[in-house]
Amino acid sequence: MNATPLSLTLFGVAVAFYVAALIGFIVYIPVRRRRLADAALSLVALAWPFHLASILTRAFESGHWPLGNIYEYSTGISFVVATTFLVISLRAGQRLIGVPAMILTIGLMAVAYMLYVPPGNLVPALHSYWLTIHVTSMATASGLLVFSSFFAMFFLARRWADGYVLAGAIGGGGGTLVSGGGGAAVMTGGGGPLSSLAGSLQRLPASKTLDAWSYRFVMIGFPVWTFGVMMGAVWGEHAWGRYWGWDPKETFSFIVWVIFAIYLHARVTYGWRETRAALITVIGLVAIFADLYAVNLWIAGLHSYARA
Amino acid sequence: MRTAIYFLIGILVIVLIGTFVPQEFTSASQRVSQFLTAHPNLNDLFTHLGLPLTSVFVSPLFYILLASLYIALLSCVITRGRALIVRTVRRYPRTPQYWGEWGSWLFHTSFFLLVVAVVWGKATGFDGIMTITQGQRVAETRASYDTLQEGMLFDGHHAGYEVQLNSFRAPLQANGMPSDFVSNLTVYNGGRAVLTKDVRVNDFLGYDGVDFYQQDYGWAPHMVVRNPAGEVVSDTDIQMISDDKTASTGVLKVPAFNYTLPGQTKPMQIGAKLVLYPDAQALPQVTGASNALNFSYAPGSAAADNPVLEVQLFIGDLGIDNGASQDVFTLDTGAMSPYYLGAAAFALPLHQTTTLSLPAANGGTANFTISFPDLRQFSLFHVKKDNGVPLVYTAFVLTMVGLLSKLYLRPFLERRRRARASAPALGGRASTPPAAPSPGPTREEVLTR
Repeated sequence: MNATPLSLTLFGVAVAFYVAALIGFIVYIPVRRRRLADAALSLVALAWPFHLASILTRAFESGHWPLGNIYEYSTGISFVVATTFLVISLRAGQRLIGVPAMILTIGLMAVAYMLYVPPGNLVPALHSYWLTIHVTSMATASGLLVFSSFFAMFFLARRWADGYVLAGAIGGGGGTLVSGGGGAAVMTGGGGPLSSLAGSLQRLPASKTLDAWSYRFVMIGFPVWTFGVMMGAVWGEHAWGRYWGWDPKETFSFIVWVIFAIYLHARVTYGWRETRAALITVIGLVAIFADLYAVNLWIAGLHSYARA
Repeated sequence: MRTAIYFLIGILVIVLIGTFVPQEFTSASQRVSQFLTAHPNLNDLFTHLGLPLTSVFVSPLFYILLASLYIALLSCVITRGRALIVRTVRRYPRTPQYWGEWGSWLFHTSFFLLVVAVVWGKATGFDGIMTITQGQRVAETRASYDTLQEGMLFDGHHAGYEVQLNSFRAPLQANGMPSDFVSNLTVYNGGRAVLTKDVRVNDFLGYDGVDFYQQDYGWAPHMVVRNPAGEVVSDTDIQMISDDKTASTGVLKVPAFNYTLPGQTKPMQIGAKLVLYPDAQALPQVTGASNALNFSYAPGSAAADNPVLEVQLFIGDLGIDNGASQDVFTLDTGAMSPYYLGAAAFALPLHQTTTLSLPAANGGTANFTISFPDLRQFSLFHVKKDNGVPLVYTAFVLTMVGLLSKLYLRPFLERRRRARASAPALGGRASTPPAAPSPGPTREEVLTR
């Protein structure tokens, strides 16, 4: 057994910083100190070059584009997520998105570590420049589309918080419209855990803004996903002589595509806007990860080599 | 729009089923039959509903949903296309929204080109599997295929040229897996070599509209059988199948053995079930070795370091004459009896010949031989003709152009328009928010939170 490759050491350093950052973001929810969130953000910024260096050294160690198995692929997506988060934070001052972004980044890296394979040769099926084009697109699209779901979840949370506080206010005024613990807690002016949570969630941007952010990430991620699927088809034609074969990985990437296509249509359909559209992107998030892991690990198909 | 959403959800559900239930054309047949035996009633029920679970992608329900979606799409494309043409012809102002509409129209219309390309390509082409053994030259004609599906509109004219497998190599890495597998092919057109190429996964050979893709490979032991008269009654390369290439199975069939056992009227036939170990590892002998049957081998690596065939010989009737379908990978021993008691097998190492005896007319014995002079490899090619592929790619390009125009052109034009409108009047910066809702929040909106 060789010594730990440099790429894995760098990977470990990055994860350590990310975990520290996540703790900072979680503490920021109740503590509400901007400087705490900024410190957590700095930790992410500190982790980022290590993460990048880990990917680059891995490429040198294995001698191929570092997206050839599920360890490399998970690391790649987590890098897209971390990078996107940094961009959002620095450009738009968003901090709370650090909680889901870091949970996902660390989760992806944990899975990557569990399925770790030492750097080595690719299986013959992956000896192609299409690997670079197709797999990079898919990883990038996955990393971007998850943010649409994050913002959609925030949207739903903010909606709930607004409704909760409004119901509390009405309940406090009229006393008849709201019954039950929630209304009562606000009415009595007490800081029950739910009203405290609602208060925290109200620091999120306005629900309309969150919805727009969610849409913006579909707008960026959906064409990349479309492109990635198409390039997969071109690769399939090039390698196997068929551009589409209903292979489980293909069907699932199609499912993800259809889910986000439904989202785009829902946004312009009366009765499907906002809440339903937000729920669709959350389903999209589940589908992306089912596509990434469930299909590779439990369903046999032409893409199963990703584990090797 | 709402209708289209419901059709999309329906398609989504079917595709989901197709992902988790093994499918007849894409999954291993074993897994399909396993599913069918495990859930017979469920499958019957869904088949009645037009959705046989193990072939959902060719099911009536799936086609109905697809067709419905396309009808909804068609009505949308016609309505919006007509509106756009009216706006163009009557020279209404070209707003950013107008260009976004064109993008959306192009995106949706490209799906019609896609479906036409797929259907036309499949209907006018063919798709098959061809096996070529090292040194063998095969013509691109109907008879050369193991399996072949021709499209409904295929004109029946195959290219007719010949393809020869000059060599095949699958170099093994330290972990025992091949680092690559490569077939060296030469195309002969009218007897003249016109093209030679290394074909590997990711690098196919295309000639005269027909493409050869490296799909699989395996061992093909060359076996020669001589009957008691000394005539060569079989001289073939036998295609062996396996999952990991360290042990593979195959079948030898000699229908024209040309020898009749005493007291019988019909000439006998012979057949054998074969196991090949390219790198046979001899196991310690079991109890008292009294004859050649007492041996045992285990698979070693996938390299041809010590090739040994285990031959389980049967004599009698191969069942070929009764018109039943012939599978080259299975031996029907229903009308045959094992040559050795208990159907024991004998070992036949590479370059060796085994002599076996049969009863002869005068009460004596007649000897015949089975030899294993050479171990070759075969290569399995996916061969296809699909003229629709360039059109499919065209549809891809149009889809992307439409999608990007729809998503980006309109916001881009709106931003430019705002910038132009505000620049001269206000000295560079708009002080009032734009009238049209922008797709995302501005930086200020977020920062105020």
